[in-house]
Amino acid sequence: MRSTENNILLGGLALALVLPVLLPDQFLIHVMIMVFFYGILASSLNLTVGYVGELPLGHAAFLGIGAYTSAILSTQMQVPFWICLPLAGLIAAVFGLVIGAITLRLEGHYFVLITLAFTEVMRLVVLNWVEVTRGPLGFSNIPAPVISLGESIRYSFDSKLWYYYFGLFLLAVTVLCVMRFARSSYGMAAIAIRENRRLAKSVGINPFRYALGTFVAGAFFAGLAGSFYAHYISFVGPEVFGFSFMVTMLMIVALGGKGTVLGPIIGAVVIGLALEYLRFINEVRLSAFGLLLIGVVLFMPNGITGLLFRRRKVSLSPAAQPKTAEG
Amino acid sequence: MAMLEVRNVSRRFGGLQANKDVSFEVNQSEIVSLIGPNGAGKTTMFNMITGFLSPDEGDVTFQGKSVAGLKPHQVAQRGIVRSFQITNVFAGLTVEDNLVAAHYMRARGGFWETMLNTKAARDRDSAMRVSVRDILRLVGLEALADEDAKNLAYGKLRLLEIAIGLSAAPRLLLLDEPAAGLNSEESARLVELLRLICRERGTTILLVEHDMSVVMEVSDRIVVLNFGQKIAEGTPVEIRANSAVVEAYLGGGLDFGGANNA
Repeated sequence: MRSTENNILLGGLALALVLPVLLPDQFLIHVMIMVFFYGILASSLNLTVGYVGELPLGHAAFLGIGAYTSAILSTQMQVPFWICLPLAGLIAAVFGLVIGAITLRLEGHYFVLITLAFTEVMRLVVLNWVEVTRGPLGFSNIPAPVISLGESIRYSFDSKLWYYYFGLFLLAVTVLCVMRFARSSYGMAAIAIRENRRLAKSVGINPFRYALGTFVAGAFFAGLAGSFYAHYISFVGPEVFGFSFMVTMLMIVALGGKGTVLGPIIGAVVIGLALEYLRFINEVRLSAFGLLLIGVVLFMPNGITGLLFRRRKVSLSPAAQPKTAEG
Repeated sequence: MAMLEVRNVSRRFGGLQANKDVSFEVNQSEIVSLIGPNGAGKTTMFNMITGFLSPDEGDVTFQGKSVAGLKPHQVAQRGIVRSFQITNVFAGLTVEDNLVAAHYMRARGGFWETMLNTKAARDRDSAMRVSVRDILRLVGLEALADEDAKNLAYGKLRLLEIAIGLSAAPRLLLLDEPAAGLNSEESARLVELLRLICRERGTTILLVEHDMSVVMEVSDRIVVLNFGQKIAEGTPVEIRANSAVVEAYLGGGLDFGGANNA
């Protein structure tokens, strides 16, 4: 399964590299940039959902923190993108550390609710702390990345094509890190906690430490995704803390297959394309997603990758195999 | 000095005295059984040795250092690893990955080493795979390495629990009723296996067990608890002849000869 998963990922990467040449369609390129963004976001969520087995319903907060970090630094203090991006990840990770250190002592429902409440608090702070966040106005005209060598050479990376390849690069780095993590003793420790917390303790695994480490890593990548989003869309408002991003990334992880490296990527492609190409049925779009989510949870708990790999070398699913996979 | 020393340990749950002033020792490379009628406080004692509970009074020392009050994972890191009375495995993982997960303490590399997948990290990984295969061969689960744990038959699950325990590199392995639910053939194999583990890997074993034929055959020494207190300690021959023990078990249907389901 590992080699199959690697092959699919490498094939996808190769296809993504040549796609803008094969189909030089501006709208498609925009859609794919959003797919990369969702891919990073969903992979970061999947670390906690898929490996530790806890559901952080407040994960969108880290996206928002990353986006606002970039927005404030670049528009108010003229900090260049190349510094904003890692800082956005780091600041999101610091918030992750604080929130995780408090909430990961709780399990199950408590964790879900407290993280959700945290996002709501962040949204209210951003909405009301007008001096710093400009409240409901948000930040517009967030600048594109620029490289300047002295006065004469100054290049602005504002084309869609540039964002396309940079987004792809960020996604590839994220996937590589997740893969290394998932297949290391750290990943196994996290999976052991998900599978059987008590037994994990009795073989010497500190559940809190691994849950926290994984959660912080997830916050870091969500922060990166937020920064990328802020510069690409060039506008950030309080809605980045809203529930719709949360629902979308949860949908992606569930549909693609939680607890696998490939799952969030497949989910991001399917959902990302659907979100953009189904705009003409805007009214029923979200309802359709709701129904789809219910269907996925009921009939294919391991998502699309669960259907692809029925027997697994590293079994990455806590739930029973879906019956639909037998046919 | 004994490897494990339990000194004057007491534990109370509300009005129930689960353990009262219990002392015993386990020496290096010994197999010691903890027996007693239901409710004698055996599992409570296990929980106190492994950090799942802390004693109200008394102390537990392992290799000269107190482990009372440590958290379970800290106790495990000192070298005391346990299995549970109710079958406990990582059900969603394959048999091999159950061992890999439990192997983590020995196979853990540095964070950057892992992320950069250095040669040291890869070497550690392959050494771990070899060790996992060795343990699977020892317990006789090699052929089932790629099977999901949740598909194993009951007898095999109990072997997997022991294998998980061994993967965590214990100096002292605590097994809570490893023979429960096994048929007589499987029990006989278990006795062989426990001796093999003790002899070949030098792992000291403390077990709680109701199956007297297993206890009598495998133990170097036996500690008997009744109503939370130690009533006897000695070799199997001495315990068989101990009148207090026989009395404690009267009505419990103790049969020193064969399997018992009391």
